[in-house]
Amino acid sequence: MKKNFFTYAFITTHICFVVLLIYKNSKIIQLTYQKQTIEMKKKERLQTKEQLTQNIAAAYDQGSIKEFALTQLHMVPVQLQQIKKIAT
Amino acid sequence: MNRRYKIRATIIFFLFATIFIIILVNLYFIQIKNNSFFVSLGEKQYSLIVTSYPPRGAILDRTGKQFLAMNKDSIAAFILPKTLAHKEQVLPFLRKHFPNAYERFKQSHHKDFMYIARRLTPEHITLIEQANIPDIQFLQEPGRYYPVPSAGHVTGITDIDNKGLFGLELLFNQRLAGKPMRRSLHKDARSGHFYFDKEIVEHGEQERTLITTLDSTLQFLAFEELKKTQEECQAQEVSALIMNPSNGHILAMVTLPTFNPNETRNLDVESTKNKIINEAYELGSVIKVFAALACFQEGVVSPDDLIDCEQVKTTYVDGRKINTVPSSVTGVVPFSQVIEKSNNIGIAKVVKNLGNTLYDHYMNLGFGKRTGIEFPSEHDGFVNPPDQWSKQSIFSLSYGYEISATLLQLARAFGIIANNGYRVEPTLIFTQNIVKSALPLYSQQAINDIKNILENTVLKGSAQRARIDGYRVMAKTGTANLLINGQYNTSRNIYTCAGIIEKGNYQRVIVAFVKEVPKTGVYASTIAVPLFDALAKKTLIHDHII
Repeated sequence: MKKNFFTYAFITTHICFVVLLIYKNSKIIQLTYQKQTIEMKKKERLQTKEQLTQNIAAAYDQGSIKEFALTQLHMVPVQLQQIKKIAT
Repeated sequence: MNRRYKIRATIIFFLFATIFIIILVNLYFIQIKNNSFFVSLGEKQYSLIVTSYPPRGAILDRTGKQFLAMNKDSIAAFILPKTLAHKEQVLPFLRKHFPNAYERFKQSHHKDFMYIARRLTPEHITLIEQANIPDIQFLQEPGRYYPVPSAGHVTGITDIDNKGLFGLELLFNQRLAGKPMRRSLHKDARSGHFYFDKEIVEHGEQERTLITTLDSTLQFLAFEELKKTQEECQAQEVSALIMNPSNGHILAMVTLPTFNPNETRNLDVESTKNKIINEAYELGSVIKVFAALACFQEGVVSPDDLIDCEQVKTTYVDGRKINTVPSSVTGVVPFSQVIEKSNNIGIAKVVKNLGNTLYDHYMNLGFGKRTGIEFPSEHDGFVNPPDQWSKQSIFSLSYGYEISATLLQLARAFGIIANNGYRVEPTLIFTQNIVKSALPLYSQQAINDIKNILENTVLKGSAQRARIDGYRVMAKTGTANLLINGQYNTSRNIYTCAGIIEKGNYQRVIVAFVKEVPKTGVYASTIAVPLFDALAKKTLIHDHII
């Protein structure tokens, strides 16, 4: 009786270990997959960020800003003599 | 019957035995003899070495916010010649729209991979997309974008493989590019994107950004002024340099003709040259400032000593012919006026007393030596050494011939005057370290004397157009003939105006330079001084020095 119990317990424990090992490996694979999916999303977001940074840099083009100020806002370049310092 | 059975059994036995032997031999070859080959073949299917390149570092202006160079992916189109599925579509398309690629295809039809074109324009991308040929595929490649094109001479550009080609991109290529990282990925044999494990095989190095001393707004303002001058004077070349003499920071460095660093398809190599650093000129009378400074330092003359300039355009000093421009002709005047009026005869008569010492002074001032600025291929400049002097040399050197200098060297020399005799090395890289001479190279008296002369040159001399009320402007002009085929050509000139603007502790060194204008009989006072004046005013407004 005791011998049988020991054999069953031994086999059951080992089956449990095998199941846990399989579970562990599949969990690792699942998490690795999730991690890589997030990494890919991060890469896409970084690309979008870079694109937006380029757009901002292009929008700061001083030539276009000057042209816009002169033609659209009808601004005129200021001369040094026209500037006066106000005492505070 | 029994015998036939035995024969049949024997044949079948040998047949199977042969098959087993073949299998065993084969197994021997696979498992033992070629073991390493098949092991590596299997490894290749499961494990993959991936090299990842860090994004190239940005180049920023002195604020650390405005990009001078940034990353922008470009698109390349490619085909796989060996495995083309629709040859009948691809070839006519290439022949019509990409003849170069078509020619290359004829040579490379057996290859696995071939670029059709790289750095495609939006028009080309649309063209390929509309053609809808499955064999032609796109590939994203790292590239560069330069938001301040006027700084192209400084930043330089990268080549098609994103490696620095010239300028800061070349000099700091390693720092900007970083070092690629190599990783080993473990995959299942069929896996595409995903992997089980990732290990670093070789550590990389992150890219580092580069902060320059340039002020992008001032760079733009200077560029606008240069463009205006080039159009008005129809000049062949125009350059300008604005520097903070106290720390050597170059705030603006512009040269025309220029190029668009974002459009390098048909690049004229000559237009990419940074003529402020990479080219030296015989600058003419602007060098008189330093000859006079040397004379003051050596006690050869004082500003009030009277010099006889003979009231003539041409004379002979020690048997050598000396010419001076009509506007500078004068009689007996104090030495200060010789410089203010830029009279060649007067300076020649004084400087001859210096002898070889003049050469030493020019070398101390940094002429004929690189400044060590962080830029590739800096020009040394040249000062004719005493052992090669002719009888004319001492006179020529006094008014800016037989000495060639870069505009950067000129700015550094004016920086010595601004810094009361201390030499500060110019720099393009933003750093707190100032490379400054331990001791002043000139006495305070000599510096004060030359400053007063430069100020008077603006108030009543050849640089009157540079006068700005409320500010101390000290400048000197120079008009020099160009040396063409060994002879000085009087109708081809360069015009320079260099000086210092000052208010309180605020100082800027400005160099304005114009090369060759079609108009004859003009001098630096009418060509380079207005440019200097415009640059000075723009700088003062920009820096809020009111």
